[in-house]
This record gives sequence, C-alpha cells and structure tokens, in this order.
Amino acid sequence: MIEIKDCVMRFYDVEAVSGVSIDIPEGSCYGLLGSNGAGKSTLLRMLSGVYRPLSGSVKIDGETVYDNVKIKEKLFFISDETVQFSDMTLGAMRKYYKMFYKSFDDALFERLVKIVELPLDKKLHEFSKGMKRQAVVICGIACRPKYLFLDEALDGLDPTMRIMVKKMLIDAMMDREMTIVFSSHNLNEIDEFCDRVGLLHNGKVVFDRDLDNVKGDVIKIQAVFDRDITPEDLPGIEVLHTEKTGSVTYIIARGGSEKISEAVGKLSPKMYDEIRLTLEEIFIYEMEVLGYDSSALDK
Amino acid sequence: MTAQPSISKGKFRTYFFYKLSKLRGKLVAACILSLFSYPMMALAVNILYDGLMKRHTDSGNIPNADLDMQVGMMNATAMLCMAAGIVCIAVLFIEGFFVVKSSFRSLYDKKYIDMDLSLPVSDNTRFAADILSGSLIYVVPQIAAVVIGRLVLIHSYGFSEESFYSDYTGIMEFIETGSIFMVCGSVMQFFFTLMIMSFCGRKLTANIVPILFGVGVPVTIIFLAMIVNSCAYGIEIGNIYGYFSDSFILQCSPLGMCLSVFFISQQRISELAAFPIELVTLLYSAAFCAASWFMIKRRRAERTGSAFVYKGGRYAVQFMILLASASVIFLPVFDRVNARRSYYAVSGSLVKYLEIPAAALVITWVIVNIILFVVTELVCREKLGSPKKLAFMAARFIGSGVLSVLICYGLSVSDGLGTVGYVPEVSQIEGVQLMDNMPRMVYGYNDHYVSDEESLRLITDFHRRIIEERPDFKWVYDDSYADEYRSYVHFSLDYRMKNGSRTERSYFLPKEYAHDAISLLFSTRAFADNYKLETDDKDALVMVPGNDGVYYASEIPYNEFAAALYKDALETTYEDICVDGGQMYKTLEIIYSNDNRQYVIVSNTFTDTVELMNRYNCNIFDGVYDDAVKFYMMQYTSEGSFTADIKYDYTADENGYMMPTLNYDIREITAEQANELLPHTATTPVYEESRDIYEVFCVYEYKNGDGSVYYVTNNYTGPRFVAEKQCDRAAEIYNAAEPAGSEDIQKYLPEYYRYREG
Repeated sequence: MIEIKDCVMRFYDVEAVSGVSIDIPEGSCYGLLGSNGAGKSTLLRMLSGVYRPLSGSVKIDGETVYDNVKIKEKLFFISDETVQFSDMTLGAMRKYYKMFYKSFDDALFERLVKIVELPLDKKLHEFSKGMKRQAVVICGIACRPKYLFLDEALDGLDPTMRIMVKKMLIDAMMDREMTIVFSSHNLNEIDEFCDRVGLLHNGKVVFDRDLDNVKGDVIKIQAVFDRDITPEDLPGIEVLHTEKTGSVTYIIARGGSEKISEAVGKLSPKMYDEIRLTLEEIFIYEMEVLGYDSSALDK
Repeated sequence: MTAQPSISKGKFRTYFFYKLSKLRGKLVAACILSLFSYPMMALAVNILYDGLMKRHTDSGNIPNADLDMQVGMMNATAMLCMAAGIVCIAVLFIEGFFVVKSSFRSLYDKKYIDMDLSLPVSDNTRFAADILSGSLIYVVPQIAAVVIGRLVLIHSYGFSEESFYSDYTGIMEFIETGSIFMVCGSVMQFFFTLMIMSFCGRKLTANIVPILFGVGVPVTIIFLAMIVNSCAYGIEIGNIYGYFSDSFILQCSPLGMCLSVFFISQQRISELAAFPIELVTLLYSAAFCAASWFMIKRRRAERTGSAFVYKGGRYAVQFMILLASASVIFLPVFDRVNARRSYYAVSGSLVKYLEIPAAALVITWVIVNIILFVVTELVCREKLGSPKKLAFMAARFIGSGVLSVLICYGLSVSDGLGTVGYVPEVSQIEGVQLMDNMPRMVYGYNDHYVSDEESLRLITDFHRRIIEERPDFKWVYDDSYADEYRSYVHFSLDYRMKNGSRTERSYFLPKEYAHDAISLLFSTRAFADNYKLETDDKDALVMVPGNDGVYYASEIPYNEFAAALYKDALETTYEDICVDGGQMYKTLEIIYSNDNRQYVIVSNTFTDTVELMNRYNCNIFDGVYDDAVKFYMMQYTSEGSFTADIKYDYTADENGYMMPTLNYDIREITAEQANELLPHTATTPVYEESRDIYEVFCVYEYKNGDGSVYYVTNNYTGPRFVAEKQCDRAAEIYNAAEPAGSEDIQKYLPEYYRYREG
C-alpha cells in the first residue's frame, strides 16, 4: 500500500508538488497523468526515496520511504533517463542490480533477455533508445520488486516492443501482485494498462480515481436543440466543454451517463446521442478547464 | 514507523566493493604514480651515490674525461628519476580531486541521482563506503610507495657510509619524513575537496570551486597575513615564514598546509614545531570529513543541477573572490600608509617604483570584481533582467566589497592583531638570538645567543621599552634606501620558546637607541658568551700573531687564557670598547687537540688577558707601528665605495684579513703624523653623512732568509679608522699631504690585494 499524504516539494521558488495526497492499493497499476512540469517525475522520485519531501509523508507499507533500506529493497525506479547506464553492458547492469536486490531472478532475467534478444556484452551507448529502455525494464522486472515505478519508461519504444514490454509488466503483475506506478504522456497506454489514474496539474491532484470511473463519469453528448445551449442550462452538471458545429451541439460533461442524459433530456433535444470518450479526450477536456489547452496557439 | 538509517554491514560491503570496482581506473593511476614517486626518488639517491662511489674508486683507473662522462650520465639519470618522482607526487596530490569527483558523482551529476539514490542503501552506508573506497584507492598506493621508497633507501644504507649521503640529506629527509606528511596531505586534499564539492550541484562548479577554494584560501590568508605584518611594528612584511608559517589558519587548506610546511622547512624549525604537522593535517581531515557528512546529509537531491545546492555556496565564492583580490590590491595601498611602521614595505615600494596610484588599484579592483560577480551570477543562472534581482545583486556586491575592504583595513590598523605589543614572558623563553647592524667595534660578533634568566630579563625589559617608547620615536623618512639605512639601527630578537615555537621581531630603531642596544649586549652575557671557549681541552694551543702577520705558538696555558678572556669579556663595557676609543685588536688562534681551530679577537682593553700574555712575552699590542717604513692616509668620501667595502662587509681573504677594495684617495703622511692619529683610531668606523672617513695605513718591511724584502701592512691588525673627534685634525693632515697614486702602494700589498680594475 502506497500512502502519499500532503506531500510538498519545492525547487527553490517553484512548488513542484503541492500538498498531494494519493493512496495506491497494493497490486494495482496506477497511471500518473499530467501536463509537462505537473510534478509526476518529482512524485515518482519521492516514491522511490530519491527526494525527501519538504513536508507531508510518503509511506510504503506503512513506513517512510526516504533513507529506508528495508522499503527500498521492495521498490525499483525506472527513470526517464538511461544515459547513466551508457558505460555499462547489460551483463554489468545485471551484476549491479544483483548486488543490491536479494530478490534478483537470474532465470527471469535470462528469459526476458532471450525474448527481446539483447546482447549482454555490448555497452548501452551502442544500443538504440528503445533497446536501452528494454534493458532497464528487464533489470527492473528481474529484481522482482514489490513496487515498480516507471517514469515515461515506454517512450521511444516501437509498437511491437511496447507490447512486449507491457506484456512483461503484466506477467510480473499477475505473477506476484506487483504494484506499478506508471507515468506517461501516452494516454492510450495508460488506458490499456492501468486500473487507476491520477491527474496532476501544477503540482496538485486534479483527480485520483479508478479508470472505469473516470471514463464513465465524463460523457460526450451530441444533440440538436432549437436554441443555443449554455452550461447554465444544465444545472447540477459540470460542463467541461461545449461546441456548436452547424446545428449540432457537442457537450462534454462530468457527472455520469444517467445524470447527464436526464439533464439534457429536460432541454428537449431534437436529436440526442451519447459517445464514450477516450482517456486522451478526457485529459484534453479536463486540462482545458484548468486553462491548459492548445487555444493559445490560435491567439 | 520509520526505519533508522544505519550502516548495514551487508549493504556496506556490497556498495563498497561496487564502488571499488568503479574506481579501478583511478586505482591504476594512483598505483602507477605512487610507484614512480618516492621509490623513484630513492632510486635517484642510489644512482647519485653510485656516481660518487665510481668517482672514488675509478679515479686514476680510467681517463678523467671518460669518468666525467659516465658519472655525468649517472647524475643526469638520477636527476630524471628525481624529476619524475616530484612530478608524480604533484600529480598524485591533484588526483585526490579526481578521485572525489568519481566517488561522489551524484553530488553534481544529475543523471546519477536516480541510479545511486534509489538503490536500497542508506545515506550513511553510501557516504561511508564512498569515503572508504575513494580514500583507500587513493591513499593505500601512496603508503605502499612510502614503504618501498624507504626500503630502497635502507638497502642503500646497507652498503654505504651515511656520510656519503650528506649532499642528499634533503632528499632523504623528504623520502623518510616528508613522504609521511605528503600522504597525510593527500588525505586532507581528499576531504577538503569533498567538503567544498558538497556545496556544488553542477559539473562546472564541482570542477572549478574546489580548485578556486584550494588556491584562493591560502593565497588570501597569506596576503591578509602580509597586511597584518605590514602594519606590525617589529614584524617584517617579508617574514611570512616566521609569523604565519606554523599558523593553524594557513594550514586549513591542503595547499596552505604544503606552503606552511615549506616555510617551516625553510626556517629549519620543523623539529621545534609545537604540534606534529601530520597530526594537524589529520585533524583537519577529520574536521572536513565531519563537515562533508553534515552537508551531504542535509543536502537536497532535487537541487542537484543548480550551480550550488546551498545558496551560501555562491555567496561564499563571491565573497572569497572579493576578499582575495582585496587582500592583494589593498596590501600595497595600506602598506604605504604603514610604511614607516615596518621597515620592509616591499610591496609598497613596488607600487611606488611602478608609480601605480592607489586610486588606479582600487578602480581596477572594483571593475574586475563587478565582472567576476556578474559571471558568477550568470553561472548560477540568475535572471539579471529582473530589476529586483539586479538590485539584490548590487546590494550584495557592495556589501561584500565593503566588508572585504573593512577586513583588510581592520587588519591593517590592528597593530598586527596585537602582536606589536607582545613580549614573551621570561619563563617561557628557552633563549634568544640577538642580531644587529650596529657598528662593529669587534668585527665578527654581530649575533649573540643568550639563555640565562638574568640576560633574558634585561632583554625583555629592553624589548618592552622599545614598544612603549615607539610612539615617541622621531622617524626621519628618507626616500632612498641608503639614507634610510643610515637613519636607523636594525635590531632583531629571535626568541626560541620552550614550547618549540619561535617569536621573531626585527626593529628599526632611531639611531639614538644604538648606544642602549649595544649596552644591552654588555649588561647581559650576550657579548661575553662569544668569549666562552671550550675549557675541557687543557692541551689546546694559543697561537699569537707576530707583526709579520704569521701566527706563532705561545706558551700561554690555555685554561688560564680562557678564564682570563671570559672574565675580561664579562667586565667589558660599551665605553671600554666603543668605536671612538682608540682600542687595538688582534686576532688570536686557538688550536685544539683534535685539530679544530677557533679565532678570538682580543682588545688591548682586556686587562687580565693582556697581562697574562705579557707574562709569557706575547706583547702583541706593543710596537705595532714602530717598524713601519711608510705611512699613508686614505679618505673615503664616496658613499658607494664606503657602503660596498665597509658597511656591508669587507673583502676578506681566507684568513679573515680585511682589505677595502681600492676606490678611495690615498695620501702619504709622515711617521709623526701617523703616530699622532693612531692612538685615536679604531678598527671599525661609524659612517656619518656629515663627515669623511680617514684610515691610517702603515707598511712594514721585513727580510726573508735570502735577504729579499717583503712588506706587510697594518691591515693584518685590522684597518685603523680615525675616531670622530679627531676627524678635523685628520682632515688637516690629509689635506696638507701629497697625493699618492694607488700604484704607489701596490708593491707593498700581497699579490691578491693588488689593484684590479673593476
């Protein structure tokens, strides 16, 4: 169980994480969404014990993570950088992690290496970006941690490799109830992979919910009305976005399918249709509400 | 529940060996450099020794040219080995910086933060393993090199006589004892670099700041010390050796420690050092290690990537640059203010000679520092476009600059941090060496060592008097060195303290103090102790000079002579022996049973000694001038010749006989005129700007066994200068006399005294 409570982290004058509180149940796969600079990587580094929170607490299995060897043995952090391993071979990485993780599984390591066909004796700077990622992920999985934190770890992988790595992660999860915290800008990936998501913006949590709940909560309506509709016409519904193209009005609203269709029904639409949104669309509309959208480009 | 971070044994071992493996390259470098350091120097000593031996054994067996070539080759090889050794030691010292950089890469390289800090290793374990692995790979090869170096030396001792090595004792001492210091110094370098690096958050600053502090701190301290010295009456500005050499402040950085050891070795007081230098080095290292641990423990990993993880780091760098440059620039500025308080205003003089106005120095300092200040701000990625930040920077610059100048000024007016008024307590003094440049009534004795309590008391009282009366001194400042020299009496006190330290003071006193300072020598045992001969050698011979300058063995019992001489010396007063007294001096030679020789200068005022010598028919002061055949007077008017020939030193031959070089006017006088002046002459003149110096010069004629004639001049008994009160009469005689060319007296002089051009 991961418990993040009122966590604050500041880089000099900038507050990167501002009073974040998130609980992540054991065995789940948690997706961290957020704009650039939202605080995802900082939060993952605090989870890994790299950064010490200025205030608040980061606990895993009830114990503070920072400078706690016992807890750190249970987790593995894969950062968005791989350059630090450039002068190591995959064989050397295996030795390196084997020294520090008692749970390191040689057989698993070999099996994974065999699947992706990575050379053990070549230095990582000779690898492609994707191969480097594979190498680090393989090490992370072979360490058999109870908690695996991935910071944009699948970026740069080709679709096939992406599927293979995801499969490795899913196998590990299934195999031993590993908890994964996963940050990515690829929302489809989170959509496919995570059972719970948290959206961060400017260091604050926008929402932290089950993925199904998120997806079921935000609905896109396309309808034809005999007049222009404003958010004020839908009391009790949180309207994220409205748009009119010709006679068709599009409404993106939060509140669940039933509640939204009931509210829209009261406006007697001539035509009514409900469309389920992808996570990416939800992300865009949620961020738009927060003032983070591409409209700046139009100005 | 929070787990307590501690050094887990298993994790420590794992991390330690991992770090060792990462430092393999540095280990190899340290091993190679160590192997070529002290062992190479020891090898050089052996090769030099072999060269010496070869010259001994093969001399006569092979042609000299061949021998010279072979020995020359050996010496050249030895020099190469020596140079390689010195270079390797210097590089080893610097390698400490690179070892720290490799060991603590996550301090300044962001990419290693995630890799190193997410590992299941506690902060304490990581720090301990990093320290141990880094210092081990750096220090162990050096220790091994010291041992090997010593073994090579021990091996050479086995087949050689130690005396052969006398020329190389410095190198041997360095290998035997200096090497231990160098190893300790390396440890200090490691921890000093680590401490400074713990402030840094970027490669750029981690590369520059430790070097900046490593060099800047000792340089600043030395220049600040020079400012202190420049204002401290009694401490010569150039005397950084004595004043700051063993100061813990100078020793607080590795380079400062090396400079301190160098200064101490220059003074040869290492054996007197109050505190073992190696221990000081290790104590500093321990302090730096503790400070590093504290800083690293408190550091916030997220700030890695900034120039400094602690804001204080930037301020410290900026302040150090300002203070260092202020100490350099303001030394000559304040030095000029204080120039009269300390004689050797070297830097002030330099500025004066270069004609750089103080204002130009200050303006240069301000401009250079503004540039450096802005550069450091830019390195720290400060947004200077913001008026608020710009104003803050300007305020900091002005504040730091004013503080730097105030520190320099404060030190400048602090009377040498109070050392001006310090006089050691008699109970703490082992002995004191007195030195002066006062006119020598008996040439040769210008430095005296006393250690008896009564003498020490009198000396410290006189010292106190100088300090108390200093404000009343009437200084006459002349621009030229020579004039200044004439206006002052130089008097030095070098206290050897019981705790092994030294306290040196060197005063330029108004001329009126000369009498009291010389009297001090007589009221203490300082003068008499020069006449304390060895008394346990009953068979020593007292050799007496004849008028022909040749020494003859006398029958004077040595022990009686020694006792009489010391008694006379103890009873001698300044008035007895003052320069205008018309005394005569003769140098006697003592030959000891072991063939050692000693010369003592005896005055005709030494009544007991003269009486004893007369009893044994050694009437050395009688009839000195009776046999003279020619009499001349010399007039010294040229300041240059006087200064060169008499004031600083005479030209002396191997027997100690003096003869001023020929740069004066000579006139021949009569025997009557010479005999009128001779009783009013003394061996050493006091030069006065207001008057000329006259010397009476007598020539004696002797015959060899084969009937040939040879001449001896009265220079054998010391040159005779006319006393001040008889100068007018001397001038009268001189002016009435006929000029004699220097060539006239050439035939009377021994070959080596004859006139030579230039």
